[in-house]
Parts: sequence; C-alpha cells; structure tokens
Amino acid sequence: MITACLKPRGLKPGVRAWSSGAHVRSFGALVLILLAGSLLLPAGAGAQSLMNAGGLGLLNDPLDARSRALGSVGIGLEGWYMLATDPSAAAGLNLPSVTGTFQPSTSRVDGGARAGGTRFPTLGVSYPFGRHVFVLQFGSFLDQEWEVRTERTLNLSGQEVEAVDQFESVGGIGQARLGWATRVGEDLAVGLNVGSYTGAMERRFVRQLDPGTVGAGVEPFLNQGRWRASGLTVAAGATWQPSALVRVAASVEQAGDLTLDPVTPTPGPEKSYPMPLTLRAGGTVTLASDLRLSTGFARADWSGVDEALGGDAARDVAWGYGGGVEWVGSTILGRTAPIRLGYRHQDLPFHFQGEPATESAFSAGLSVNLADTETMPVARIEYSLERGTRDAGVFSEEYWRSTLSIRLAGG
Amino acid sequence: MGACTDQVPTFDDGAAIPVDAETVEVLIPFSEFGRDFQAFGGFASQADLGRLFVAHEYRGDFDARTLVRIGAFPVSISVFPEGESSTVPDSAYVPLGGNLVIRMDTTRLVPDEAVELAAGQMEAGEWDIRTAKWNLAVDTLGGVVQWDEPGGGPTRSLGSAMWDPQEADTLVIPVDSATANQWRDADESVDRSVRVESRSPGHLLGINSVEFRGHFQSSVNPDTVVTVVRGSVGTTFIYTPEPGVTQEEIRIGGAPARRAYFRVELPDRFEEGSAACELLPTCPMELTRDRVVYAGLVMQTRPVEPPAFEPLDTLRMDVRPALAADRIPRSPLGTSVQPTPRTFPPGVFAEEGSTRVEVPMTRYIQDLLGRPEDPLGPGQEDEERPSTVALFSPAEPSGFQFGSLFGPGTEKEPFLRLILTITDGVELP
Repeated sequence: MITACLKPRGLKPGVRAWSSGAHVRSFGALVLILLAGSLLLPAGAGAQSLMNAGGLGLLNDPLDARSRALGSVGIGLEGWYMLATDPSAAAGLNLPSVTGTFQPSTSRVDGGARAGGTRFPTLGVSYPFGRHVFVLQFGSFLDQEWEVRTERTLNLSGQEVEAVDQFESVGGIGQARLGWATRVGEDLAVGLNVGSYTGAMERRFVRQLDPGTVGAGVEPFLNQGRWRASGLTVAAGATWQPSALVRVAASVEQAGDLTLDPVTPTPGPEKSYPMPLTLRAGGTVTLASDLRLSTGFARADWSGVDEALGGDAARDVAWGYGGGVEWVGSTILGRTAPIRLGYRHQDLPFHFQGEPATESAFSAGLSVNLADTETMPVARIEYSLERGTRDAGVFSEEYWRSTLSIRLAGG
Repeated sequence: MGACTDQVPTFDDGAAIPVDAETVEVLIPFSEFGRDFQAFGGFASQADLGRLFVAHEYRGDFDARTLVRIGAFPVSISVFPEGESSTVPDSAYVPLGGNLVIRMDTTRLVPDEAVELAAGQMEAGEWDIRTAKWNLAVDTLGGVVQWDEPGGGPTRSLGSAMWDPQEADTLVIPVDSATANQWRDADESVDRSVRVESRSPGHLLGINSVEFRGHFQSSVNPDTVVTVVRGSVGTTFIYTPEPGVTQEEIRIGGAPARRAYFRVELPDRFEEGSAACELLPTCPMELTRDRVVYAGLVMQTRPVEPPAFEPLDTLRMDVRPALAADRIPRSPLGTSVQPTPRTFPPGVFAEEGSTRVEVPMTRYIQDLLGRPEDPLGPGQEDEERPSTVALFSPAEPSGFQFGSLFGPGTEKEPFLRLILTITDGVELP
C-alpha cells in the first residue's frame, strides 16, 4: 500500500505554472474551465465518500486521467498504455516506461459536511523484451476510510453521563499485479496479469466519557483490530484493431477470495469474501482525422460477497458503462494537446444504508503530449476533472475528482 | 491505495457504528478486592514540621508544649578597651541575664483573648529532638528514656508573660543572670533546654521561633554591655494524648505521620452471585484491562478522635504503590496512582456527618489487570505490578492533625468504583 498525504493545494501551483507558461489558442476557454475547476477543489480531497462505509468499501477502479476524462471503464482506448483493467493494452509499449496517477478529490453530502483525501490509483512500470512486454502495476481497489462520531447520554446507575463514541475505519485494499502482453500479428494483441490483494483494514472504536461527570482520570475505551488483505486475482484480455479506424478490446478478470487475516493480537479468525468475475469490453472509433469516440461497459458478479456479508449488503450484478470523445487537433506550443469529454455510470457493488448505490459523473480532460514517437507517447501529462454524484435511496452526495497522470518512456 | 485522513468522511449517526457497546458502573466491596490492611504511625517527626505548638486543655484534654535548645554562647565577645579604637576579644565576659523572645504564629492560630505562656529551664538531662514525646525523652530503637515527669520532665521556672495578639506578635520572658551564666558554662545544648507551655485553657497557639537575647558585660571594659542573640539549635513539640493508629480506621497525616497500606487483589472475573454481577449485562464476565475505563477508590470520612486533632488546614492525601511489599512500612513508594493528590478541605473531618471522597486510580488498576494490547504495535513483555498501595499525606509531616476515614470492616468501608465498557470487539463487516 502506498500512502500519501498531499493536499490538492500542493498540486495547484504546478497546474498554474503549466497554465501561465502556455499560449492558449482556440481551446483556451476550456483550459481555463479545467483549471478553475481544479482550483475550486478544497484543500484535502479524496475518493473519499461516506459510501466508503458500505460493505467492504467504495470501489475505486485503478484508472488513469485519460480513462477518467473519457468516461471509460478502463478498456479499449486508442493507443498503448498500462491499465490493469486492460491487460493487452501494454503490448505496444516498445520502450521501457513508467506511469503514475495522482488523484485528489472531494465529496459533499447534500447539506452535509465535506470530506476529502488523495489517492494514487495506479502506478506502473513496463519493460519490453523482444515482442513481449512485462508490466508491474499497483492499483487501487476498495477505499475504506470513514468514521462515525456521535455524542450519547449514558445512564450509569441512575446518573446521566455524556459520552462521545467514535468509530474509525482506516486503510484500503489495493492490488499488485505482474503482467505480460504481446502482439499477435499486426491487428491483435493479448495480455495476462496475475496479482494479489494488498493493504490492510484497521477498525477502531473509542468511547470517551465526560470526566466532569465520571471523575478525573477516566480513560477512553478503545477496541481496535487490524486485518491484512490477501487473495489472488487473474485477468486476461485481447485487443483487436480490424482497421485503422476501429479498435476493440475485452478482458475478463477472475478473482479468488479476498481474505482478511487478523494481525496479532487482533482476535478472531480470518474471513474471506468471494470477489467477482468481471467482464469488460470497449472500443474506440475514429470519427474524423482528429476526433475519436470511445465507449465501453463492465459487468461484475458480486453475488458471492453479498452472501458473505449476510445478504442485502451487495448487488448481485454491478454494471458500469461510459463513453467519451477525444479531440486531438488542439496544440500547445506546437505539442499535441488532446481535449476529452466523457460520462460514466457505475453500479457500486455494496449497498449503503441498505440501499443499492450508484455513481455517475461527467468528465473533461486535457493532455499534453510532450514527446511522442511514431507509435507511442514518450512523455505525456494528462489531467481530468469529474463532477459526479453518488446515490443510494434518499442519500446523495456530490463529488469533484481530479486526476493527474504522468507517462514517461525511454530507452 | 494511499489516502489522506485530514477530511475523513464522517457520520454523526450513532446507528452507523458497527459496535454494540455497553458502559456500566460496578461497585466492588473492600472484601472482594482489598487484602492485608495495615495502619502504621511514626513516619517523620514533629521536629521536621518547622512549626511549634503550645496548648492547654484544647478541645478537651489536649496539651502541647514546645521544647527548645538554645545555641551555645560565644567563646568571646569583641569590645573596645577604654581609649582604644580597635576591638579585642573578651572571653571573660559576664552574662548579666537576658530575654527569651518568643515569636508567635499570628496567621493561622490567633486567640481571641490574651493568653499566658510560661517558660522553664528543663532539668531532664538527655532528650532527643527527633523522637521526644509526651512520655518519652528518647524513643529510639534500644534506647527508650522516659521523662522524669510526663510532658518534658521537671523544669525550673524562668517566668511567664501574657500575650495579647491584638498588641504584639512577640512574647518576652526575662532570664536571670544565674540562668544565663549556667547556659554559658554548659558544654551541651541539652543543658540550655527551655520548655514553653500555655497556661490558658482552651487555646491552641503556634510559635514561629524562640531565641535568647543575652546581655553580656565586658571584663575588659566593664562599662560595655553587649547584646548577643542566640537562636535555637533544635526545636520540637510534644503533646498528649497520642491517638496512634487503629486497624479499623484509615488515618492520614499527623506528626509523626500515619499511613495505611493494603493489597489490591482484583478478581479475574465477576462470578454469579457477586455484588458486581447484579450490575453487569452478562455474568460471569472477565475483568480485563481494556474494559476498565475508570477506577476510583471510594472512602468515607469520619470525625477525628480526639477532636483536637481535626485538621484546621487543607489536608492532602496521596496513593502510591509500595515497591517492596516485604519491607512495609518502610517500603519505598512508586509514583502516584492519581493525577493529583486528593485534597480535603478543613471541616470534612468534623464531628458532624461523613463525606464521600474518591481517589481516581484508573491507570493503576488497568496496569494490575495487564499491559495494554496494541494490535498495531509490537508485543510487549508482561511484568508484575506492585499490588500494595499506601495511603498517606504527600507532605509528612504537614501538621500534628490528621484525617480519618472509615476502614475495612466498618459500616462505611472503602469500595472500588469501576466503570466498564463491554463490547464484543471490533469485527469485520
């Protein structure tokens, strides 16, 4: 697990500097909109959501900024890239490359408090060897950071005592994957990755009684536990490019049980949760020389984990779909600077307060291709900004999520 | 992957907490947790107090007397021979007499009328400043010596004087030349011992200091009289009656000071039928460290007997573990089990009523139940905690008065108040 505590304001100066040095042209207005959106993000952000409290946490796919901007489910985008959800997409990375994604975001419940934090949803390294490309990736999976803080009045032998109860869930589940991809002929690429769940879940309950009523020296009650995540996951996929204008891809991911082992001295046995079989498919169509349309969908069967959670805690099947357009005709200082717009809808696997939950967002993004070879980017900065909602019954929260990815390649 | 925690999503709905916690108060009688109660006296000496007292029939039959040893006279005095401008030592000076100057405590103990004090030259011979008591001149191991008469032995009167607190803070009693000469010739300070006593019944008086102001005539220049001040080289006070200690009572403070010791032996679990079980949600139930969020030793004050020993000032009480139980009452003590010493304001030990006092000792009780378990940290080796505690005044002595609390086996014996929080633990979803 990689933990960071970077506030969005740490990001903004870099974004502003990038902006101030740019001679904006026809897309200037959009750039300003994107930057303004970024600046509006409050300090401290996150894929943080109250829905982190549902089931095993909030699903946070390991996507980069381009995928987010295009509303993608993480498959079938144009070009070659590293995404754990699209194992064959790395087959064309014929230079060693690294990619990292930084994702601050914030959410606000209707009329409620704001929450935020920062994620690194995906980090990857690829290395080509002959026709083969090997990939090491770390990605996000489930966010579990949330807490409850409430005041109670207890009755102790007839005396009313004020108390503050606090429950904290800390940590999250990630994935580490080792992948392989290769091109089969000119039109087809295949890929495979195997991985393991990583990370840990910490849960803590604290009750503090009012010392003014009970007496000096009252100590907080503390119960806590820590569980380490493990479990195997395997994904395979293929990308087919039947023509220069069309690209389609599909993948299937079979995960074993997610096992949470108590870390000594946390009592109790380990617990296992069946993870879903996930199918993803998507594609990109070139509509014009500088305009592309991408779309895709994902289907995951979570019925097994629902049973493990006692029923009525998770969906049987969670669908996700989305799409977007990418205009690659714009430039900055002579460099290609694609602009993207997208929309995505995702069924969240875990119910929240007994209600099925969904997440949907409109997105926009901008990229600067600092250096490209004929077939792949060498240095690229990508940025996306999403404005979305998460709903579960009457509960609704809005969120802003910005994502910044950097891709570097060289030999 | 990683996450900041500066703005964690936070609910305020307690129903979202996936932990069922119950907090209860449990009262454990002394008989279920206290063992080997012992009361002791004799800690420190009234000579360490730094304050002196005299009393006559105060609040009944309480008498107190102050004993003072005057410092040695100078070997010589410096005088100017007639017609000369430089001094010479004069070791053949002649004491003409002097005054015993007694400075009274006018801040704490002020009588509402004039009182009579008397001073006398003690004729007892050997007596020990640190161990002298009303009946004993010396009270050391293997060397007990009784006064010829209780209360400091026989004296030769030096005189008496009335002290009116409205007029002065000092009392002066003349000392004749015979006594002054005797003091000059005395080799030991014990032979310059003075006893000060009160002759006015019903008053407790404080004395800050006693000194002798001697008038010495020069043998070199007989016209010269030099006044020399000799302070005390040792002071104490003795009193009667001496209440001592009882095993049914917790007495704190006094001079010499009193302490109470007992061993804390907590039950491993609350069994059905125990008093505590009636207050618990389930029984039997293990008593574990993590469940104890508060522990307090609850006691009831009782009137001090004899009433002359009722504290007139704030009395403090501390509770500390005895680090070497086999060396009680001389065991070294550990750090206090409570955040700050418990204070008793004047009046709680008066004749009327009884006051409940509680000494918080949560950390100590938790430590007796085991070391904390930190699931996020490395394992820690267990070590035995001293289970015997001492109840005492942190300043020994702080006054001859003491505090009194009901002891074990009495109608208002101490009990342990525990507040427990009970859960089934934090579990996975």
